[in-house]
Amino acid sequence: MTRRLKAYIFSNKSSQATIKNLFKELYMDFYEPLCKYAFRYFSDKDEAEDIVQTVMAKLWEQKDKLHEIKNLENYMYRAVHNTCLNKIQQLKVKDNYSDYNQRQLALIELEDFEQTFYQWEIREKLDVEIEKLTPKAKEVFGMRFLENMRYKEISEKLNISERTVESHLQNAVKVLRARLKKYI
Amino acid sequence: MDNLYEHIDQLITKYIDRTISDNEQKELLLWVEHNADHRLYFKEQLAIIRNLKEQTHEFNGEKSLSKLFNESTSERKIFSIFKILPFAASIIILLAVGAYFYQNHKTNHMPMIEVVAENNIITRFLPDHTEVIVAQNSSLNYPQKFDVKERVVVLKGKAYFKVAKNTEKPFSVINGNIVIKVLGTRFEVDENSIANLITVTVSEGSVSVSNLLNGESKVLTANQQLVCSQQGEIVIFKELNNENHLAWNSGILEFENAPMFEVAKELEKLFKKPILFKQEEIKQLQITTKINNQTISEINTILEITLNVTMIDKGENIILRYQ
Repeated sequence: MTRRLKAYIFSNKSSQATIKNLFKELYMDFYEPLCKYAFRYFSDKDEAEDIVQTVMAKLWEQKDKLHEIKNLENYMYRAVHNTCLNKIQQLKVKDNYSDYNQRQLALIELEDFEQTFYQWEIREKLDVEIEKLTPKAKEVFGMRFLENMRYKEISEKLNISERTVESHLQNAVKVLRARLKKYI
Repeated sequence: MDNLYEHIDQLITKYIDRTISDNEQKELLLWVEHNADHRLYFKEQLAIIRNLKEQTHEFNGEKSLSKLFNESTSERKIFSIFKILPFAASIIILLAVGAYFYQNHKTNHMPMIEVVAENNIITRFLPDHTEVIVAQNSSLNYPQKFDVKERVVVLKGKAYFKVAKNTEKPFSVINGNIVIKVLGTRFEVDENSIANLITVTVSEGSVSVSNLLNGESKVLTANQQLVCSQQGEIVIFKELNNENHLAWNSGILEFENAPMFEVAKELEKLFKKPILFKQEEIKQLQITTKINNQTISEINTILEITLNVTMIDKGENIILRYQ
Protein backbone atom coordinates (compact mmCIF):
# COMPACT_ATOMS: atom_id res chain seq x y z
CA MET A 1 0.00 0.00 0.00
CA THR A 2 2.91 2.37 -0.46
CA ARG A 3 2.22 5.61 -2.21
CA ARG A 4 3.09 5.42 -5.84
CA LEU A 5 5.58 8.02 -6.88
CA LYS A 6 4.81 7.35 -10.50
CA ALA A 7 3.68 10.25 -12.63
CA TYR A 8 1.03 9.61 -15.24
CA ILE A 9 1.87 12.09 -17.92
CA PHE A 10 -0.76 12.41 -20.56
CA SER A 11 0.23 14.62 -23.42
CA ASN A 12 -1.98 15.92 -26.17
CA LYS A 13 0.87 15.07 -28.51
CA SER A 14 0.84 11.36 -27.71
CA SER A 15 -0.62 8.79 -30.05
CA GLN A 16 -3.93 7.12 -29.24
CA ALA A 17 -2.10 3.91 -28.47
CA THR A 18 0.19 5.61 -25.95
CA ILE A 19 -2.71 7.32 -24.23
CA LYS A 20 -4.63 4.06 -24.09
CA ASN A 21 -1.73 2.16 -22.58
CA LEU A 22 -1.06 4.81 -20.00
CA PHE A 23 -4.72 4.89 -19.08
CA LYS A 24 -4.72 1.14 -18.64
CA GLU A 25 -1.80 1.47 -16.25
CA LEU A 26 -3.61 4.17 -14.32
CA TYR A 27 -6.71 2.00 -14.17
CA MET A 28 -4.90 -1.06 -12.85
CA ASP A 29 -2.90 0.97 -10.32
CA PHE A 30 -5.84 2.82 -8.85
CA TYR A 31 -8.72 0.39 -9.21
CA GLU A 32 -8.14 -1.35 -5.91
CA PRO A 33 -7.46 1.70 -3.70
CA LEU A 34 -10.40 3.57 -5.22
CA CYS A 35 -12.68 0.60 -4.58
CA LYS A 36 -11.46 0.40 -1.00
CA TYR A 37 -12.20 4.08 -0.54
CA ALA A 38 -15.73 3.69 -1.88
CA PHE A 39 -16.17 0.51 0.16
CA ARG A 40 -15.48 2.48 3.33
CA TYR A 41 -18.74 4.35 2.89
CA PHE A 42 -20.92 1.72 1.25
CA SER A 43 -19.74 -1.59 2.69
CA ASP A 44 -21.00 -3.23 -0.47
CA LYS A 45 -18.40 -4.73 -2.74
CA ASP A 46 -20.54 -4.57 -5.87
CA GLU A 47 -21.58 -1.00 -5.23
CA ALA A 48 -17.98 0.08 -4.67
CA GLU A 49 -16.84 -1.53 -7.92
CA ASP A 50 -19.81 -0.08 -9.81
CA ILE A 51 -18.88 3.38 -8.65
CA VAL A 52 -15.23 3.08 -9.57
CA GLN A 53 -15.98 1.54 -12.96
CA THR A 54 -18.36 4.36 -13.79
CA VAL A 55 -15.86 7.02 -12.74
CA MET A 56 -13.08 5.42 -14.80
CA ALA A 57 -15.33 4.97 -17.84
CA LYS A 58 -16.24 8.65 -17.71
CA LEU A 59 -12.60 9.57 -17.27
CA TRP A 60 -11.77 7.61 -20.39
CA GLU A 61 -14.42 9.55 -22.28
CA GLN A 62 -12.40 12.62 -21.43
CA LYS A 63 -9.23 11.09 -22.83
CA ASP A 64 -8.58 14.09 -25.02
CA LYS A 65 -8.53 16.32 -21.97
CA LEU A 66 -6.54 14.10 -19.61
CA HIS A 67 -3.38 16.15 -20.10
CA GLU A 68 -5.22 19.15 -18.67
CA ILE A 69 -5.84 17.51 -15.28
CA LYS A 70 -3.10 18.56 -12.89
CA ASN A 71 -3.56 15.95 -10.20
CA LEU A 72 -5.15 12.79 -11.53
CA GLU A 73 -5.11 10.95 -8.24
CA ASN A 74 -6.94 13.72 -6.44
CA TYR A 75 -9.34 14.02 -9.37
CA MET A 76 -10.25 10.34 -9.31
CA TYR A 77 -10.75 10.17 -5.58
CA ARG A 78 -12.85 13.28 -5.70
CA ALA A 79 -15.00 11.80 -8.46
CA VAL A 80 -15.50 8.59 -6.48
CA HIS A 81 -16.28 10.62 -3.37
CA ASN A 82 -18.87 12.72 -5.16
CA THR A 83 -20.46 9.69 -6.75
CA CYS A 84 -20.83 8.13 -3.29
CA LEU A 85 -22.43 11.35 -2.06
CA ASN A 86 -24.84 11.43 -4.99
CA LYS A 87 -25.84 7.85 -4.40
CA ILE A 88 -26.56 8.55 -0.77
CA GLN A 89 -28.63 11.58 -1.67
CA GLN A 90 -30.57 9.59 -4.24
CA LEU A 91 -31.51 6.96 -1.69
CA LYS A 92 -34.26 9.28 -0.52
CA VAL A 93 -36.51 8.52 -3.45
CA LYS A 94 -36.33 4.75 -3.31
CA ASP A 95 -39.09 2.56 -1.92
CA ASN A 96 -37.09 0.40 0.34
CA TYR A 97 -34.72 2.95 1.81
CA SER A 98 -36.26 5.85 3.62
CA ASP A 99 -34.02 6.07 6.64
CA TYR A 100 -33.43 9.74 7.07
CA ASN A 101 -31.07 9.30 9.99
CA GLN A 102 -28.73 6.92 8.23
CA ARG A 103 -28.57 9.20 5.25
CA GLN A 104 -27.86 12.25 7.35
CA LEU A 105 -25.02 10.59 9.22
CA ALA A 106 -23.44 9.42 5.97
CA LEU A 107 -23.74 12.91 4.50
CA ILE A 108 -22.07 14.43 7.57
CA GLU A 109 -19.18 12.01 7.27
CA LEU A 110 -18.72 12.73 3.58
CA GLU A 111 -19.41 16.44 3.54
CA ASP A 112 -15.77 17.45 3.38
CA PHE A 113 -13.78 15.72 0.69
CA GLU A 114 -10.39 17.15 1.70
CA GLN A 115 -10.89 15.91 5.23
CA THR A 116 -12.07 12.39 4.46
CA PHE A 117 -9.47 11.99 1.73
CA TYR A 118 -6.72 13.09 4.09
CA GLN A 119 -7.94 10.70 6.79
CA TRP A 120 -7.88 7.97 4.19
CA GLU A 121 -4.42 8.87 2.95
CA ILE A 122 -2.80 8.75 6.35
CA ARG A 123 -4.41 5.51 7.45
CA GLU A 124 -1.09 3.71 7.34
CA LYS A 125 0.49 6.42 9.43
CA LEU A 126 -2.23 5.94 12.01
CA ASP A 127 -1.17 2.33 12.40
CA VAL A 128 2.35 3.52 13.00
CA GLU A 129 1.15 5.94 15.66
CA ILE A 130 -0.78 3.17 17.39
CA GLU A 131 2.37 1.08 17.44
CA LYS A 132 4.16 3.93 19.17
CA LEU A 133 1.78 3.88 22.13
CA THR A 134 2.98 2.33 25.37
CA PRO A 135 2.19 -1.39 25.61
CA LYS A 136 -0.52 -0.86 28.22
CA ALA A 137 -2.15 1.96 26.31
CA LYS A 138 -2.02 -0.11 23.12
CA GLU A 139 -3.68 -3.02 24.90
CA VAL A 140 -6.47 -0.87 26.30
CA PHE A 141 -6.96 0.77 22.94
CA GLY A 142 -7.22 -2.58 21.17
CA MET A 143 -9.71 -3.91 23.69
CA ARG A 144 -11.87 -0.84 23.45
CA PHE A 145 -12.01 -0.42 19.71
CA LEU A 146 -11.23 -3.78 18.22
CA GLU A 147 -12.94 -6.01 20.71
CA ASN A 148 -15.55 -3.44 21.66
CA MET A 149 -15.19 -4.09 25.36
CA ARG A 150 -16.76 -1.75 27.89
CA TYR A 151 -14.60 0.20 30.35
CA LYS A 152 -15.73 -2.09 33.15
CA GLU A 153 -14.72 -5.24 31.27
CA ILE A 154 -11.33 -3.83 30.37
CA SER A 155 -10.60 -2.77 33.95
CA GLU A 156 -11.55 -6.22 35.19
CA LYS A 157 -9.47 -8.04 32.64
CA LEU A 158 -6.33 -5.94 33.11
CA ASN A 159 -6.85 -5.45 36.80
CA ILE A 160 -6.68 -1.68 36.66
CA SER A 161 -9.20 0.91 37.70
CA GLU A 162 -11.77 2.26 35.26
CA ARG A 163 -10.18 5.67 35.76
CA THR A 164 -6.90 4.32 34.44
CA VAL A 165 -8.63 2.75 31.48
CA GLU A 166 -10.25 6.06 30.71
CA SER A 167 -7.00 7.94 31.02
CA HIS A 168 -5.13 5.52 28.71
CA LEU A 169 -7.87 5.86 26.11
CA GLN A 170 -8.09 9.61 26.29
CA ASN A 171 -4.36 9.97 25.80
CA ALA A 172 -4.25 7.51 22.95
CA VAL A 173 -7.18 9.10 21.18
CA LYS A 174 -5.75 12.57 21.78
CA VAL A 175 -2.54 11.54 20.04
CA LEU A 176 -4.32 9.97 17.11
CA ARG A 177 -6.76 12.79 16.60
CA ALA A 178 -3.90 15.27 16.67
CA ARG A 179 -2.27 13.18 13.95
CA LEU A 180 -5.51 13.26 11.98
CA LYS A 181 -5.57 17.04 11.85
CA LYS A 182 -3.82 18.22 8.78
CA TYR A 183 -0.55 20.09 9.17
CA ILE A 184 -0.36 23.05 6.87
CA MET B 1 -19.03 12.68 30.78
CA ASP B 2 -16.86 9.56 30.55
CA ASN B 3 -19.82 7.31 30.30
CA LEU B 4 -21.29 9.54 27.65
CA TYR B 5 -18.26 9.28 25.38
CA GLU B 6 -18.05 5.59 26.00
CA HIS B 7 -21.67 5.33 24.97
CA ILE B 8 -21.18 7.48 21.88
CA ASP B 9 -18.14 5.43 20.88
CA GLN B 10 -20.28 2.33 21.15
CA LEU B 11 -22.86 3.87 18.86
CA ILE B 12 -20.24 4.92 16.35
CA THR B 13 -18.78 1.43 16.30
CA LYS B 14 -22.23 -0.04 15.76
CA TYR B 15 -22.84 2.48 13.00
CA ILE B 16 -19.70 1.31 11.22
CA ASP B 17 -20.55 -2.36 11.72
CA ARG B 18 -24.11 -1.66 10.58
CA THR B 19 -25.51 -3.27 13.70
CA ILE B 20 -27.02 -0.02 14.91
CA SER B 21 -30.75 0.05 15.63
CA ASP B 22 -33.07 2.76 14.33
CA ASN B 23 -33.44 4.37 17.74
CA GLU B 24 -29.72 4.31 18.41
CA GLN B 25 -29.13 5.89 15.02
CA LYS B 26 -31.58 8.65 15.81
CA GLU B 27 -29.85 9.21 19.13
CA LEU B 28 -26.45 9.37 17.48
CA LEU B 29 -27.63 11.82 14.86
CA LEU B 30 -29.16 14.11 17.51
CA TRP B 31 -25.93 14.05 19.48
CA VAL B 32 -23.80 14.75 16.40
CA GLU B 33 -25.98 17.62 15.25
CA HIS B 34 -26.07 19.15 18.71
CA ASN B 35 -23.01 21.33 18.22
CA ALA B 36 -19.82 21.73 16.20
CA ASP B 37 -17.66 19.92 18.78
CA HIS B 38 -19.83 16.85 18.68
CA ARG B 39 -19.82 16.91 14.91
CA LEU B 40 -16.05 17.08 14.84
CA TYR B 41 -15.71 14.33 17.43
CA PHE B 42 -17.98 12.13 15.36
CA LYS B 43 -15.98 12.60 12.19
CA GLU B 44 -12.60 12.10 13.80
CA GLN B 45 -13.68 9.12 15.84
CA LEU B 46 -15.20 7.59 12.74
CA ALA B 47 -11.89 7.91 10.94
CA ILE B 48 -9.97 6.25 13.74
CA ILE B 49 -12.38 3.36 14.14
CA ARG B 50 -12.70 2.83 10.40
CA ASN B 51 -8.94 2.58 10.12
CA LEU B 52 -8.87 0.00 12.87
CA LYS B 53 -11.68 -2.06 11.50
CA GLU B 54 -10.69 -1.93 7.90
CA GLN B 55 -11.52 -5.24 6.28
CA THR B 56 -9.23 -6.42 3.59
CA HIS B 57 -11.14 -7.06 0.42
CA GLU B 58 -9.71 -7.88 -2.92
CA PHE B 59 -10.60 -5.72 -5.87
CA ASN B 60 -9.32 -6.61 -9.29
CA GLY B 61 -9.68 -4.25 -12.19
CA GLU B 62 -8.73 -6.62 -15.00
CA LYS B 63 -12.21 -7.73 -16.03
CA SER B 64 -13.79 -4.31 -15.95
CA LEU B 65 -10.84 -2.82 -17.81
CA SER B 66 -11.16 -5.26 -20.69
CA LYS B 67 -14.91 -4.65 -20.78
CA LEU B 68 -14.29 -0.92 -21.03
CA PHE B 69 -12.10 -1.36 -24.07
CA ASN B 70 -14.30 -3.98 -25.64
CA GLU B 71 -11.41 -6.35 -25.68
CA SER B 72 -13.27 -9.60 -26.05
CA THR B 73 -13.35 -11.38 -29.37
CA SER B 74 -17.14 -11.63 -29.57
CA GLU B 75 -17.50 -7.85 -29.43
CA ARG B 76 -15.14 -7.44 -32.34
CA LYS B 77 -17.40 -9.69 -34.36
CA ILE B 78 -20.23 -7.18 -34.15
CA PHE B 79 -18.11 -4.37 -35.50
CA SER B 80 -16.61 -6.30 -38.36
CA ILE B 81 -19.95 -7.44 -39.78
CA PHE B 82 -20.92 -3.83 -40.35
CA LYS B 83 -17.57 -2.86 -41.77
CA ILE B 84 -17.73 -5.49 -44.49
CA LEU B 85 -21.14 -4.43 -45.80
CA PRO B 86 -21.26 -1.72 -48.46
CA PHE B 87 -23.01 1.56 -47.69
CA ALA B 88 -26.13 0.86 -49.72
CA ALA B 89 -26.83 -2.37 -47.88
CA SER B 90 -26.52 -0.70 -44.49
CA ILE B 91 -29.60 1.42 -45.18
CA ILE B 92 -31.69 -1.73 -45.47
CA ILE B 93 -30.33 -2.88 -42.14
CA LEU B 94 -31.31 0.42 -40.53
CA LEU B 95 -34.89 0.13 -41.68
CA ALA B 96 -35.18 -3.45 -40.60
CA VAL B 97 -34.05 -2.24 -37.18
CA GLY B 98 -32.13 -5.15 -35.89
CA ALA B 99 -33.90 -7.99 -37.62
CA TYR B 100 -31.28 -8.46 -40.33
CA PHE B 101 -28.37 -8.14 -37.96
CA TYR B 102 -30.07 -10.50 -35.65
CA GLN B 103 -30.13 -13.25 -38.25
CA ASN B 104 -26.39 -12.97 -38.77
CA HIS B 105 -25.61 -12.92 -35.13
CA LYS B 106 -27.26 -16.20 -34.32
CA THR B 107 -24.54 -18.38 -32.89
CA ASN B 108 -24.98 -22.05 -32.16
CA HIS B 109 -28.35 -21.86 -33.91
CA MET B 110 -29.91 -21.19 -30.54
CA PRO B 111 -33.69 -21.01 -30.76
CA MET B 112 -34.83 -17.44 -30.31
CA ILE B 113 -37.79 -16.26 -28.36
CA GLU B 114 -39.72 -13.24 -29.45
CA VAL B 115 -41.86 -11.22 -27.10
CA VAL B 116 -44.34 -8.92 -28.80
CA ALA B 117 -46.28 -6.45 -26.69
CA GLU B 118 -49.25 -4.92 -28.44
CA ASN B 119 -51.74 -3.11 -26.25
CA ASN B 120 -50.38 -4.22 -22.93
CA ILE B 121 -47.06 -4.11 -21.17
CA ILE B 122 -45.35 -7.51 -20.96
CA THR B 123 -42.95 -8.43 -18.21
CA ARG B 124 -40.56 -11.26 -18.91
CA PHE B 125 -37.62 -12.87 -17.18
CA LEU B 126 -34.73 -13.73 -19.43
CA PRO B 127 -32.67 -16.90 -19.01
CA ASP B 128 -30.25 -15.03 -16.73
CA HIS B 129 -33.08 -13.68 -14.53
CA THR B 130 -32.84 -10.22 -16.03
CA GLU B 131 -36.27 -8.65 -15.82
CA VAL B 132 -37.53 -6.90 -18.93
CA ILE B 133 -40.69 -4.88 -19.18
CA VAL B 134 -41.63 -4.52 -22.81
CA ALA B 135 -43.82 -1.51 -23.54
CA GLN B 136 -46.79 -1.35 -25.87
CA ASN B 137 -46.08 -1.78 -29.58
CA SER B 138 -42.63 -3.14 -28.94
CA SER B 139 -40.88 -6.42 -29.36
CA LEU B 140 -37.85 -8.12 -27.89
CA ASN B 141 -35.82 -11.02 -29.24
CA TYR B 142 -33.62 -13.11 -27.03
CA PRO B 143 -32.06 -16.58 -27.14
CA GLN B 144 -33.51 -19.46 -25.21
CA LYS B 145 -30.10 -19.75 -23.61
CA PHE B 146 -27.49 -17.03 -23.61
CA ASP B 147 -24.16 -17.35 -25.33
CA VAL B 148 -21.17 -18.37 -23.21
CA LYS B 149 -19.32 -15.07 -23.52
CA GLU B 150 -22.08 -12.50 -23.60
CA ARG B 151 -25.79 -11.82 -23.33
CA VAL B 152 -27.30 -10.08 -26.34
CA VAL B 153 -30.91 -9.15 -26.98
CA VAL B 154 -32.51 -7.23 -29.81
CA LEU B 155 -35.15 -4.64 -29.21
CA LYS B 156 -37.64 -2.86 -31.43
CA GLY B 157 -39.51 -0.09 -29.64
CA LYS B 158 -39.39 0.51 -25.90
CA ALA B 159 -38.43 -1.56 -22.89
CA TYR B 160 -37.15 -1.25 -19.36
CA PHE B 161 -34.38 -3.52 -18.17
CA LYS B 162 -33.36 -4.64 -14.69
CA VAL B 163 -30.22 -6.51 -15.57
CA ALA B 164 -29.09 -9.44 -13.45
CA LYS B 165 -25.54 -8.97 -12.38
CA ASN B 166 -22.99 -11.14 -14.15
CA THR B 167 -19.55 -9.68 -14.49
CA GLU B 168 -18.43 -12.63 -16.62
CA LYS B 169 -21.02 -11.99 -19.30
CA PRO B 170 -21.74 -8.44 -20.40
CA PHE B 171 -25.35 -7.68 -21.27
CA SER B 172 -26.09 -5.77 -24.46
CA VAL B 173 -29.25 -4.50 -26.09
CA ILE B 174 -29.17 -3.96 -29.83
CA ASN B 175 -31.54 -1.40 -31.19
CA GLY B 176 -30.72 -0.86 -34.85
CA ASN B 177 -27.16 0.42 -35.08
CA ILE B 178 -27.01 1.37 -31.49
CA VAL B 179 -25.66 -1.03 -28.93
CA ILE B 180 -26.43 -0.36 -25.32
CA LYS B 181 -24.06 -2.21 -23.10
CA VAL B 182 -24.77 -2.54 -19.44
CA LEU B 183 -22.18 -1.61 -16.89
CA GLY B 184 -24.74 -1.32 -14.12
CA THR B 185 -28.32 -2.27 -13.58
CA ARG B 186 -31.49 -0.43 -14.50
CA PHE B 187 -32.28 1.50 -17.62
CA GLU B 188 -34.84 2.10 -20.30
CA VAL B 189 -34.49 2.07 -24.06
CA ASP B 190 -37.02 3.72 -26.30
CA GLU B 191 -36.81 3.69 -30.04
CA ASN B 192 -39.15 6.05 -31.74
CA SER B 193 -39.35 4.66 -35.26
CA ILE B 194 -41.01 7.69 -36.77
CA ALA B 195 -38.33 10.13 -35.75
CA ASN B 196 -35.68 7.42 -35.87
CA LEU B 197 -34.47 8.46 -32.46
CA ILE B 198 -33.38 6.31 -29.57
CA THR B 199 -33.78 7.38 -25.97
CA VAL B 200 -31.83 5.68 -23.22
CA THR B 201 -32.70 6.52 -19.63
CA VAL B 202 -30.77 5.13 -16.71
CA SER B 203 -32.40 4.83 -13.32
CA GLU B 204 -29.66 2.88 -11.57
CA GLY B 205 -26.12 1.89 -12.44
CA SER B 206 -24.54 2.86 -15.72
CA VAL B 207 -24.62 1.90 -19.35
CA SER B 208 -22.51 2.70 -22.33
CA VAL B 209 -24.23 3.59 -25.56
CA SER B 210 -22.15 2.94 -28.64
CA ASN B 211 -22.60 3.55 -32.28
CA LEU B 212 -21.63 0.62 -34.47
CA LEU B 213 -21.06 2.89 -37.43
CA ASN B 214 -18.18 4.87 -35.98
CA GLY B 215 -17.31 3.16 -32.72
CA GLU B 216 -18.03 6.19 -30.58
CA SER B 217 -19.52 5.65 -27.20
CA LYS B 218 -20.93 7.54 -24.26
CA VAL B 219 -21.44 6.50 -20.67
CA LEU B 220 -24.67 7.27 -18.85
CA THR B 221 -25.18 7.03 -15.14
CA ALA B 222 -28.24 7.17 -12.92
CA ASN B 223 -30.85 9.79 -13.77
CA GLN B 224 -29.25 10.63 -17.06
CA GLN B 225 -30.91 10.48 -20.39
CA LEU B 226 -29.49 10.37 -23.86
CA VAL B 227 -31.36 10.84 -27.11
CA CYS B 228 -29.53 9.95 -30.28
CA SER B 229 -30.23 9.16 -33.88
CA GLN B 230 -29.53 5.82 -35.48
CA GLN B 231 -26.48 7.51 -37.01
CA GLY B 232 -25.19 8.08 -33.51
CA GLU B 233 -25.69 11.83 -33.47
CA ILE B 234 -26.49 12.91 -29.93
CA VAL B 235 -29.59 15.08 -29.92
CA ILE B 236 -30.12 15.47 -26.18
CA PHE B 237 -28.05 14.54 -23.17
CA LYS B 238 -29.47 15.56 -19.84
CA GLU B 239 -29.86 14.96 -16.14
CA LEU B 240 -33.35 14.11 -15.05
CA ASN B 241 -34.65 15.45 -11.78
CA ASN B 242 -37.99 13.89 -12.12
CA GLU B 243 -38.18 10.19 -11.36
CA ASN B 244 -41.72 10.14 -12.70
CA HIS B 245 -40.39 9.52 -16.18
CA LEU B 246 -40.18 5.81 -15.54
CA ALA B 247 -43.55 5.56 -13.82
CA TRP B 248 -45.21 4.02 -16.87
CA ASN B 249 -43.89 0.61 -15.97
CA SER B 250 -44.20 0.66 -12.24
CA GLY B 251 -47.25 2.78 -11.52
CA ILE B 252 -45.26 4.63 -8.85
CA LEU B 253 -45.39 8.40 -8.85
CA GLU B 254 -43.81 10.64 -6.28
CA PHE B 255 -44.67 14.26 -5.67
CA GLU B 256 -43.23 16.81 -3.31
CA ASN B 257 -45.16 20.08 -3.11
CA ALA B 258 -46.21 19.57 -6.68
CA PRO B 259 -49.06 21.66 -8.06
CA MET B 260 -52.12 19.72 -9.21
CA PHE B 261 -51.70 20.66 -12.85
CA GLU B 262 -48.40 18.74 -12.85
CA VAL B 263 -49.88 15.83 -10.94
CA ALA B 264 -52.77 15.72 -13.40
CA LYS B 265 -50.35 15.47 -16.33
CA GLU B 266 -48.76 12.37 -14.85
CA LEU B 267 -52.09 10.85 -13.90
CA GLU B 268 -53.29 11.33 -17.46
CA LYS B 269 -50.41 9.16 -18.67
CA LEU B 270 -51.17 6.55 -16.07
CA PHE B 271 -54.93 6.33 -16.65
CA LYS B 272 -54.75 7.08 -20.36
CA LYS B 273 -57.60 9.58 -20.16
CA PRO B 274 -57.69 13.37 -20.19
CA ILE B 275 -58.16 15.04 -16.81
CA LEU B 276 -60.32 18.16 -16.64
CA PHE B 277 -60.53 20.76 -13.86
CA LYS B 278 -63.98 21.98 -12.86
CA GLN B 279 -62.49 24.86 -10.89
CA GLU B 280 -59.33 26.52 -12.29
CA GLU B 281 -57.83 27.17 -8.84
CA ILE B 282 -57.43 23.47 -8.20
CA LYS B 283 -54.58 23.50 -10.68
CA GLN B 284 -52.45 25.51 -8.26
CA LEU B 285 -53.09 23.41 -5.16
CA GLN B 286 -49.96 21.61 -4.01
CA ILE B 287 -49.61 18.05 -2.84
CA THR B 288 -46.89 15.80 -1.41
CA THR B 289 -47.64 12.14 -1.86
CA LYS B 290 -46.60 8.85 -3.34
CA ILE B 291 -48.90 6.93 -5.60
CA ASN B 292 -48.13 3.26 -5.96
CA ASN B 293 -50.23 1.23 -8.40
CA GLN B 294 -53.44 2.53 -6.92
CA THR B 295 -56.83 2.68 -8.55
CA ILE B 296 -58.66 5.87 -9.38
CA SER B 297 -60.84 5.56 -6.31
CA GLU B 298 -57.88 5.12 -3.99
CA ILE B 299 -56.19 8.18 -5.41
CA ASN B 300 -59.48 9.98 -5.12
CA THR B 301 -59.52 9.29 -1.38
CA ILE B 302 -56.06 10.82 -1.02
CA LEU B 303 -57.16 13.95 -2.86
CA GLU B 304 -60.37 14.24 -0.89
CA ILE B 305 -58.59 14.06 2.41
CA THR B 306 -55.65 16.28 1.63
CA LEU B 307 -57.11 18.83 -0.75
CA ASN B 308 -60.87 18.53 -0.45
CA VAL B 309 -60.89 17.74 -4.13
CA THR B 310 -62.72 14.82 -5.68
CA MET B 311 -61.99 12.90 -8.86
CA ILE B 312 -64.83 11.52 -10.95
CA ASP B 313 -64.29 9.01 -13.71
CA LYS B 314 -66.64 9.85 -16.53
CA GLY B 315 -65.47 7.03 -18.76
CA GLU B 316 -63.95 9.06 -21.55
CA ASN B 317 -62.31 11.51 -19.15
CA ILE B 318 -61.77 12.27 -15.47
CA ILE B 319 -62.99 15.42 -13.72
CA LEU B 320 -61.38 17.10 -10.70
CA ARG B 321 -63.59 19.35 -8.60
CA TYR B 322 -64.05 20.61 -5.07
CA GLN B 323 -66.15 18.34 -2.90
